[in-house]
Amino acid sequence: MSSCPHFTPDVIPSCTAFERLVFRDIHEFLNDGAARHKERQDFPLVTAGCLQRNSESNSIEVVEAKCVGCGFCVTGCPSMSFKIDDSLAPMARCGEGRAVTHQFRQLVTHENISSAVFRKLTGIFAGGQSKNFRSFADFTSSDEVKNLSPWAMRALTYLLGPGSEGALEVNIAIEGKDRSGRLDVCVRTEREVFIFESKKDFKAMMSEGRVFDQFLDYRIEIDRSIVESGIHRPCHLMVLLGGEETDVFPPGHPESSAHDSDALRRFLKWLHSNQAKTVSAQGLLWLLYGKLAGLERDPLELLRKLDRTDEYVAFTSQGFVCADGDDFKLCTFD
Amino acid sequence: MRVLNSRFPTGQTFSMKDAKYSSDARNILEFCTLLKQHPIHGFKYCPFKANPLDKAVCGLTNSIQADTTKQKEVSNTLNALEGLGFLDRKEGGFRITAEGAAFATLEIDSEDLVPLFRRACLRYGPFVGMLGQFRTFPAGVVTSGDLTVGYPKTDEMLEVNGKTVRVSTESARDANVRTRSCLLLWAIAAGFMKPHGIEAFPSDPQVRYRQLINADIRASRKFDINLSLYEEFLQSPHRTERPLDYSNLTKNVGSLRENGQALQRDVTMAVDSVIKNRRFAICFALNRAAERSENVDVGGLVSVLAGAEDMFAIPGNDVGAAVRRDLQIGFVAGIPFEAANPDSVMPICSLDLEVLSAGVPIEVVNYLKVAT
Repeated sequence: MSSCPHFTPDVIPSCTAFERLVFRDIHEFLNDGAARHKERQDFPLVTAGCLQRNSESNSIEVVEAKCVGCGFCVTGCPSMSFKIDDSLAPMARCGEGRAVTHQFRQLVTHENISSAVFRKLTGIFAGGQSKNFRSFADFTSSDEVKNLSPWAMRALTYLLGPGSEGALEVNIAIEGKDRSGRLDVCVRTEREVFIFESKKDFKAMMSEGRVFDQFLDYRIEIDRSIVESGIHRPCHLMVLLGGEETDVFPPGHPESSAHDSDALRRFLKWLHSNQAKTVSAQGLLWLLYGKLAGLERDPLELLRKLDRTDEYVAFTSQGFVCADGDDFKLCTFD
Repeated sequence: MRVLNSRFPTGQTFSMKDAKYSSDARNILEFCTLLKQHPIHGFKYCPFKANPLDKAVCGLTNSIQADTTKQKEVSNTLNALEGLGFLDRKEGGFRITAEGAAFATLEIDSEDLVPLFRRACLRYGPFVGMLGQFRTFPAGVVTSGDLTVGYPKTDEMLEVNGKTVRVSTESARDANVRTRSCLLLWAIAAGFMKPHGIEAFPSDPQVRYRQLINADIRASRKFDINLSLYEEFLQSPHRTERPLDYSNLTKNVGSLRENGQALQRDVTMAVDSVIKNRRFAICFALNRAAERSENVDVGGLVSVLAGAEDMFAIPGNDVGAAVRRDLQIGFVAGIPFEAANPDSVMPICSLDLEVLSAGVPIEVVNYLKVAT
């Protein structure tokens, strides 16, 4: 394998680490203010051993047994020097350039979006032998701050393309409350902003119970900041859910894994009545695969559609969860 | 201390900024034995940094390149070393003392280390204040939460524009937790305490309990007191060399910065000098009593302070109640006491009045010298 052309042996390469911008608060972020500073941080899967770095040859290798298919390494490489075929485990090709194969492209197509292919995608990696994380869902559900949010920031900045800037844990003052909140994932471009409130999984979110107040408080303060900034661009505020996305499949859906269908129904109704939106981490991963495979349509168009369609309350890799009278159903993508 | 001693040998002055990590100078990576190795990239990093790639590098000081804590880390570290007597504050900077230089040259397992560190702990006011509480645990077993640290709560109120505002004189709970943890770990390293258990007090606590002392989270809550060592401390005349000084007798009120605290902050700042004066007066009286082998008559002290209310009392509040609540400052500043006769207390040591008096208004000292 050739040497990495992007980094010297003394520099931490972005296939192994992520960089976050640090802002004083959400007002500064929405106001297109300059970041106070940048922080580079390890990605937990990498330190758990999914990549090995050869300092002498200045290259990396993917340890397939510990790969959960999150796409972090591939999307961090400036030239995406990885080969991805229908085995779906990326193979590093430092210095040799990108090699997304025909098999991979065939596997990830518009037609396959709502089919069982994504199950195959995640299923293969679910057999990963890492002691730390057995699958992508396991990885996202084990820590929203260390795992889910950094991964989501990387995924969003990749999906939004060059010029996008990501921050984590951005301070947001809430009028009438002693303590400020933190917006877990914030990514901006000149044209739009995505903000995610991360929750490691459905069960934890419901037992914590803060999301209902948090979301509405955040929306009020974000709207206020947008008005004050005078920079009017779409701002998509959503709840990002780690863990198994089947936990939010509508009650009665054959694949639904909801343990408490009453709690799920309550959550979905709350989303619908407040025009709040949820994205599953697996859904976001599917969008990332879609872009890696070179789909013509902008994968993020599906999240924009989620935000502007009243009936849609959640986005998963298998479709939108949408309101259907007093009930909910899983709608396939058009 | 080793890094500082290698860069600023005895006599040389250095600033807080000089003490921060710099890749261009001799630095902590050369000396620290606790560093971990990064699993992917192989470099060494500080185990107390949550992010191994943090450009702040050192958990004790942060670096010149990155210090998002606005000097809090380096300030905490240097202030602690000053409290232990390893550094002196001189000409706006710091200098290493002879004790500091000696400490820096010792290996962790040296038999000279514990006695030297024990002497250092006994210089520091808040540490002596904690020791002063051991008397209340005659069985020699204490739960960390039972040890009181932090500034006293006096429950004084002020009317401002028709609103009643509570003056914030006490330490926040999280600050107390951090202070208590630090003092407890010093006490363990110095041999005054150990985690509760049947084993005897070791002669090398800094080695035996090293893992516990350096742990991210203090798991033990119950501790044994080394009663024989404590008795030795009580029996020998003790003078706390580095008590808190006048300017540190109240918390940094500027830290009341959460939403909705602006009025409380402003009110507290307005009466900050009164609280400092009163706490100084309490320590002054305790020290004078210690030097004369007398008790402090609390009622008498209240009368003295009531005689100069503008200096010692917040308008509309009972001076007597405030003084009685503020007596606890003795344990914070470094002159602990025990109850003697009703309404009188007996200091169990004295303190260095010159250090305590740094920054005190001369009229306060003059009044107390005459009136007490």
